[in-house]
Amino acid sequence: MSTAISYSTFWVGDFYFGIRTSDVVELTKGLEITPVPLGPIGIAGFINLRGQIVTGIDVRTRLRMEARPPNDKTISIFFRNEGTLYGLLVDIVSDILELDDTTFEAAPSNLPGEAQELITGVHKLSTRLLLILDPHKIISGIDLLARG
Amino acid sequence: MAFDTNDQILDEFLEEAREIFDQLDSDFVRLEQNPDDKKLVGNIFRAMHTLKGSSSFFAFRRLEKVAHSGESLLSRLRDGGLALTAPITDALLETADRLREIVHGISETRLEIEGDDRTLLATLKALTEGAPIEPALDVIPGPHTEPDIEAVITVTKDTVKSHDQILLDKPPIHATVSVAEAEPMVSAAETMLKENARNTDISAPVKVSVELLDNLMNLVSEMVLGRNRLLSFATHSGDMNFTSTVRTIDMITLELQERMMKTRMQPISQVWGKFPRLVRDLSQECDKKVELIQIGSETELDRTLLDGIRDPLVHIIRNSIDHGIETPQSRLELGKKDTGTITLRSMHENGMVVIEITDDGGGINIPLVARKAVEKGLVSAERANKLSDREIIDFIYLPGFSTKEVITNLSGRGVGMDVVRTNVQSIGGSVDIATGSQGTKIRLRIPLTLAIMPAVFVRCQNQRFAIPQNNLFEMVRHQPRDDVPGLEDFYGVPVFRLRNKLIPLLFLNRELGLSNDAPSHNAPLNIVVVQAADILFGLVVDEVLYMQEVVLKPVGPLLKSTTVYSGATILGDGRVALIFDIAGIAIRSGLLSKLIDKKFEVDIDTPTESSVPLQQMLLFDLVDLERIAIPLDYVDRLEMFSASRIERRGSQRVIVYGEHIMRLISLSDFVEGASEIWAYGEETVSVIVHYHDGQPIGFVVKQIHDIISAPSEVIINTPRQRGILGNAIVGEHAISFLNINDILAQIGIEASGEHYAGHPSASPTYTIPHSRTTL
Repeated sequence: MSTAISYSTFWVGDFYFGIRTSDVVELTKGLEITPVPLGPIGIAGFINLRGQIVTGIDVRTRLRMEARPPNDKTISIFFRNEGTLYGLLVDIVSDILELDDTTFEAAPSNLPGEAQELITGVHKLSTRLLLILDPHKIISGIDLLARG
Repeated sequence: MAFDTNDQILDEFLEEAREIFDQLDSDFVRLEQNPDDKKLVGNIFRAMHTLKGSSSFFAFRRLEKVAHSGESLLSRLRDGGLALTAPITDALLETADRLREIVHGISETRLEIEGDDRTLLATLKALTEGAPIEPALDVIPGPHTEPDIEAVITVTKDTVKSHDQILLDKPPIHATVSVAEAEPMVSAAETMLKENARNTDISAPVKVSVELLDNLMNLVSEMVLGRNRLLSFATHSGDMNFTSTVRTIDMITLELQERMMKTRMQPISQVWGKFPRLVRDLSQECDKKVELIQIGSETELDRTLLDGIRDPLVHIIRNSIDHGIETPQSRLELGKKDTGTITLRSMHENGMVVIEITDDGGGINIPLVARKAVEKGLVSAERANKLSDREIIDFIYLPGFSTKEVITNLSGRGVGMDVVRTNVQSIGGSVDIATGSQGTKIRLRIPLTLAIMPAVFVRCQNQRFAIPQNNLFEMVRHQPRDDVPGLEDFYGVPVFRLRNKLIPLLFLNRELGLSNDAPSHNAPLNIVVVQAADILFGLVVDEVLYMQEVVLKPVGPLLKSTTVYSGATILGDGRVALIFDIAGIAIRSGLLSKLIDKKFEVDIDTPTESSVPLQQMLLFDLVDLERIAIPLDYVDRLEMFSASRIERRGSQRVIVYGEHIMRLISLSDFVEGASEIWAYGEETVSVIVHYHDGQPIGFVVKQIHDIISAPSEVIINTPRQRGILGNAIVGEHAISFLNINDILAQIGIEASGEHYAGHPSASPTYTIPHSRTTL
């Protein structure tokens, strides 16, 4: 018997992702994003979250998916990593799911390199696969990618 | 040990100890000047005692021992059993230094470092007993390998004894202290606190963590943004209750914001407090007599900036004592007092903090500096002869430059002024030197706070960026014409000519990788001339937008590797704008290395003195928009009115002014970027009165500064900032010129045929033909 973990799920392109709900601070839609020319790859820009400047992470470029500029439907999922707030830019926010590890499996080895690192594993749901993202690795990997 | 689990208590102790040391330093120096001040001795005694009490609580034996011996000596001084002599002062200062050293060790390692205090303890003991100092050194004989513990016992026993003797001398006062000592140390500390409280009678300040303050600051900024949204609702609402509530919230928010800013501010005395001791030590080392005078030590500036000015000030004072002030003998020969004076003066000026360090020494030896510069190959001998004094003084800022033949403990390593200028510039300040045979005055200008800084906004593609004003040199619209050469190529670097100077150019869109477009050959260029790392270069931008004060916000760790930005700010519309790090841009572009490789000689000619005519202007601020200038010709009177005297006539505000009813015009309504002054509930308003056909018109402004001489050439903003004709650089600031004729026309007053004469060049001239000034 294992305890269930709550996941907040969302869509980016054709992929269905989840992160632990306990990591999520809040969700906000339609925030203006200021791009950062020459900034590291994967950073969409800065978001003003009630007076605090938050770095927005573009999940698409971070996972080396086809880039698409954020629009007013883009939703930011804010989470905290080592004391700093970040926003994950996603297309559609879906349900919160309670899942235990009976459906869990390690990440398939045929994922491309970038995704392999950031995806901790997969939950096999009845209709589709839920890819579990590690938000902390999303941040820690970025510095190395700086375009400088 | 006990303190392993008591990290927080230990931290508090360390903080307290540091405060005590700072106080001790200045008290000791004061004591030397007033040896009979019993109150001062009492203060020092109590400080030492508090330290001892706390250290025994943490079982810091060494600290306790040294503090105790010092305390014993002090108590004899306090009782009048001993008179203060130079050896005693030296011993006490050494005690304070030793204690500081031990505490420093504790703060690094959380443990008491080991060390040999026997000589010091013996000296203290000997002095306490009134013995001359020399034999005291032999009190504890034996090799240095002798176990430390033995010395401890000897000394402790002796000092306890001497302490008892004192108790017998004056039982009533010391009874409380000795009882307190016998009790657990916590209560001893409490007793001391009570005693301190009785003596000072000041309510104790509360210590708040910096993090909490920063959080509060953030919340207040948020509240200001919320208030702004609320205000726009209120203007469209007919509900009086609602609007008056909004007005109340508005005023409270403003107040809150101002108070909050104040929490970051700390008096400069926090840095200056250490200087009396520094001056004392340095002057003794140099065999000079120096007196330190501090004026304006209550001047406040941001705490982050306080750290930034500490080192520069130490270097300057060091230079003053070592180089500037002469020996007492030569001072007397020169007809000066034998004691030299260093005056520290600080004040607020134009939103900056000015710190002046003046000494009455011999001044900078300019021929010597010039000779050294030639010796070091910095300049050829014949060129050195042509240089002005000012240009020669500039050499002392170079790293490694020193006029001292011998490197001493104090100076001569040639790092001093280099450090001064680098540090001061890094916090957005500037350094000025005036020197002569009667002394040297060094003037530091420091911004009040780093968190808020003026910046000019530029557009590149569809993004807005901020350039910090302290990097800003000039803004130019460059239009190639027959008599104005266009861009030229200089060893692969595009350059343009700015008054006989070649300025290398960077195209911002290409530097940022936003686009690769090159401007067409004859297209006008908007060039922001900036200065970084001592080079001037031009940034070509799509548009120069406006100047605004920006609040620097932290941007998180991910931008560390992106060197072209120093931070970000939130604009009035809630969007984020990036702030450039100009030096970062210069380095990244490779411009810096190109310039160094090619020995790029930027001067074509020695720049001639500016022949641009100057005109008198009055400088004032509007809310959110500072340093605006109006030609003095338009200023007839300056007035302050109580807000209660202002009446409303329909949409207009008027005031009874002599025999006239004067219309009050809020300039912020006509100037883009300024905020409404009425919203701020000021009790008095500053008004610039302008007479038109015998009728007074009052322009309401936030604050009036002074009259300046401004160049009559302005740099036009593109697009035009509503109400502003253009900008000019005066001194180190950009000022905006009010488009007064336009505003007069808008309020239905024709400027009777007076127009700003348009100049055919890219920099139109701002001339006002008439003059009738009765200030």
